[in-house]
Amino acid sequence: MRIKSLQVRARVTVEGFLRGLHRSPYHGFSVEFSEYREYTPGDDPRYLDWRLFARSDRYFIKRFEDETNLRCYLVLDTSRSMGYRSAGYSKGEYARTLAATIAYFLSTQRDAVGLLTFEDRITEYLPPRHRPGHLRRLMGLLEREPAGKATDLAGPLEQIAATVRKRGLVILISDLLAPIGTFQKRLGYLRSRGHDVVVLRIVDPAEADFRFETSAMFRDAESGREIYVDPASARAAYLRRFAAHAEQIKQACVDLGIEYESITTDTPLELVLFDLLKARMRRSRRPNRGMGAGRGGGGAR
Amino acid sequence: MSFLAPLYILGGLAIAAPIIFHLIRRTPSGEVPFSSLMFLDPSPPRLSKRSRLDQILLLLLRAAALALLAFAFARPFLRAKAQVEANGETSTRERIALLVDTSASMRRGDLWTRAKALASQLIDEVRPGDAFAVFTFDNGSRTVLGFEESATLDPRQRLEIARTRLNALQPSWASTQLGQALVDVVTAINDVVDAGERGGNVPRRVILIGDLQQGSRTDALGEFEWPSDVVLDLKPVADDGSNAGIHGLADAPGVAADPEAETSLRVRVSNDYGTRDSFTLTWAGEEGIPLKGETPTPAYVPPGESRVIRVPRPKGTQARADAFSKRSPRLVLGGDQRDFDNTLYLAEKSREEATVLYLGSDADDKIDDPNGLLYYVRRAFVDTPRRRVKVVAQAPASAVNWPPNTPPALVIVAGEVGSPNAARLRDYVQQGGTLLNVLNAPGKVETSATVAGVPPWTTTEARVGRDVILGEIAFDHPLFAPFAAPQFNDFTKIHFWKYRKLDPAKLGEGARVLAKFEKGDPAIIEKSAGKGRLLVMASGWSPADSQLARSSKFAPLLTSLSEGNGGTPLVEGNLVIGDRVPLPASGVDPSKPRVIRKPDGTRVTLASAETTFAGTDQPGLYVLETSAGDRPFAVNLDPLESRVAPLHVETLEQLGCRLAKPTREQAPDPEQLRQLQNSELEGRQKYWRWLVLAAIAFLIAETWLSGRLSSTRSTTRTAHAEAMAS
Repeated sequence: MRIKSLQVRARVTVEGFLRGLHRSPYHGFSVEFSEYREYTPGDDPRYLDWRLFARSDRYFIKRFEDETNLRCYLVLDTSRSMGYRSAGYSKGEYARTLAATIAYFLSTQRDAVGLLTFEDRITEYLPPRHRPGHLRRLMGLLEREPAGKATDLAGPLEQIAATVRKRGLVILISDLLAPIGTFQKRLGYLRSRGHDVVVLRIVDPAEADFRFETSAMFRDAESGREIYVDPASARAAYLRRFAAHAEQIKQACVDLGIEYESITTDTPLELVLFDLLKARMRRSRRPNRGMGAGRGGGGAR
Repeated sequence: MSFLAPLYILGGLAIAAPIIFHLIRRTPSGEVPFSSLMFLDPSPPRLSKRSRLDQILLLLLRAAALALLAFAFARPFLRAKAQVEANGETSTRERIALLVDTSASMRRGDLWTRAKALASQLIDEVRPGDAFAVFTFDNGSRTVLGFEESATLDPRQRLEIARTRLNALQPSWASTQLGQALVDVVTAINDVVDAGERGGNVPRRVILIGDLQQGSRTDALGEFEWPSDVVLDLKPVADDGSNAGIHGLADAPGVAADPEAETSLRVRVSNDYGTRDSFTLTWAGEEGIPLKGETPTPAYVPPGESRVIRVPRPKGTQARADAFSKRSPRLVLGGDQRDFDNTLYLAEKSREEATVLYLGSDADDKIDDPNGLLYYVRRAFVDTPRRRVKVVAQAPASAVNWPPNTPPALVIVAGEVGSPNAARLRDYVQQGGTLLNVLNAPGKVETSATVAGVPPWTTTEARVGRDVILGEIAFDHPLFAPFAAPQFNDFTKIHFWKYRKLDPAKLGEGARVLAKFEKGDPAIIEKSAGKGRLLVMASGWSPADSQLARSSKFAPLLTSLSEGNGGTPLVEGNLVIGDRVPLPASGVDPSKPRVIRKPDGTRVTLASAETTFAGTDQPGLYVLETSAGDRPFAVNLDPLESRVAPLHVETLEQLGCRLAKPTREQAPDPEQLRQLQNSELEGRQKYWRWLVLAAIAFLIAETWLSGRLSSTRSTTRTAHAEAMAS
């Protein structure tokens, strides 16, 4: 994390990875010709093949294989709890780097990447595009510091479900430190809309094992509430509850066929990306209820 | 040792708090931010199982501070010590000021005897421990026995002294300034610092003995905030309150003279209260003996009303002011029980006849020539209710003459009068006359030389360019003093076309230049000769000479010159006891002391610098003896003093006085009394102050110690951390 620029950081991580993870089920504007189709009113006249018309006096539409229109939504938690760090860097920095890496990676293969940041409400929304300068804007948004006071998981997911009509890939990056509540239900909405959903949970090592020695006033990063905690006596209960919470989330994801990954911030980013891609390739080979991962023949080019 | 509020000792239980805090192991080493507390529960504080206490010294300091505070709030005091101090006397001490009315209304009946008896009785009630003082008042308050003097005396002795001094007093003739007297006494009673009290709460009481008449002036109390700890105890000595009084009425200034003023006099008779309604007004001479041949004037005044009565002047004095004054008359009201206010003294106030003699060449044939001097002299004098001026003109050469004892107030000479007349005028000036010589033509000056007693000299016409104005004027001289104020002292509009050159040295020793022209030549020179004075003017007021006659200064100047000899009453209106009498500045020889003769025959010599006389302490006819003759003035009682009906007590209460409860309080409950004693003892000893101070000291020590301990702890911790890092 010594590299300041998110874009460079993302590029360094992505270099060396294979390109071309999927094929789009849509036909788009590409160099790779797919088929001709007879013109029907309502088709875009731009794609009329005038040469064929000259030859045959019939209207045909030229169709190309579309590789670039995977719509990926990076849903990033920027609440203040993400600012927690026990060593090195915070969950927020880690999550932003991860998001930047994924965005860069996808944009190198001409996919449209959008960003949605949230805390207790949605703070930023950048629709998925693939345009010059879009990635830079996205990086700019990512570089903002987390400022939110609380985490609300349900709201952003509901918003995506309501606004995004086109099926795509939704990657939720959060510490998921909030009551489960309607979380599962909202994920269900997304799945039912046909989105492919990946949940990446970022966990600080200190949160996972709660290795505090001295008793102190513990201050909640989000609400500012303080309570006196003696770690020696509180540790067991904490670990039990933490594990139960994690299990609940995992179970919810498994039930919905959602890919769930818990990542501690001391894990190298390359490994995370590698695991992610490996898992996606594994998924894309098998029949899937979701459409986002492309057709069965999709794979590394 | 006893406590005033022993329950506060329970506050000492708060000592347990620092001990419990010390035992709690909860030593949160700062604050740990954590991402979310959703999986955490607050840990309950645990008591240390260690039997040893940390920071014993700190704990002791905190506990001691708390204990001292609790102790201080319990208000401890030492009973034994207090009993020694009290020395057997009763503990309820008081500070008492006795205030006795000595105003003129106390002269009626046996009021004064009763007041003294009452005062004596009250003095007997004073206990040895009380602070005690005696004051009297009429139109001012006086200290008979002050608190400071009383504190230095033996308790029995001071009562005797107070009684003796009170017995020696007599009521004065002055009015009743009750309000100011109360303010003074309350200030005195609050100002006194009694070492024995140590600021404790001593009851303060002002006992007022007097007739509490309605004529008392209480307006001073209106602006005074009566202290909450001073009680006013009223001890009125009153009779039935019936009284009638007589008061002179002043002529309203500016109103034309009363046509009947020469033959009669207006007085007001007021009947304050009572059953009588018929009175008589009688002229009396010295010693109050009625003048022979004068018939009393009846007056009917219903109770509670006042009437203005016209009384004929005594026979033989009508139209003759001097005759009136010489008989020293007074008007006595008959038919009233209380005679202290039944005499009205009168100084003559009738119109004065003055003569101005003009000797000039324009006197004879050209009577009304506006180019001459006489034309303006005739018009300069205006008749006033007080004074009528007659201008007599005659040729300079004709022999001057006037009736014996009535010399002219002013002689104006324009031109040379010849040696017989000059000698006559010299005598006139020597006996106190004023001579104004106007040099309206150059030539030999003989008249003035003769009057001044110097050889004759010759004047020449001065060379004047276009015109000349007065440059330097002696505004400190009585002649010009009325013009000294900035709105009047502009003489620059008076232009002179011609004047004669004058040399003050020619007039000999003592000549003073009163005004100079702008070139420095003298315009007016004054020289005293004998009792009178001579003034020489270098220019006249005829239009050929100057604009003086047409300026607003001319008439006042001539009037001032003609009034210089006195003979007029000192003041307009009525003087009452205690008034300051303004003394006239003009016509007074500064080298001779002025003397005032009081009605009882005593003589008061006034310093020359004094402008007022304040010693009017008895009613009657006062006489100011001046070099120019006696000038009488009458001083009477304050009309308010005649209103002797009792003052309503509510009036004083409305003015903010805290009146003592009229009934004696019940004997206090012994338990309550003990409580009162305790609180007074405690109030005197005030140990709680020292305890609070000690508690503060302990807290300061605690702060310092804990600051030091925490700083050493943090330095050792840093050192430890550095060692670990390296």
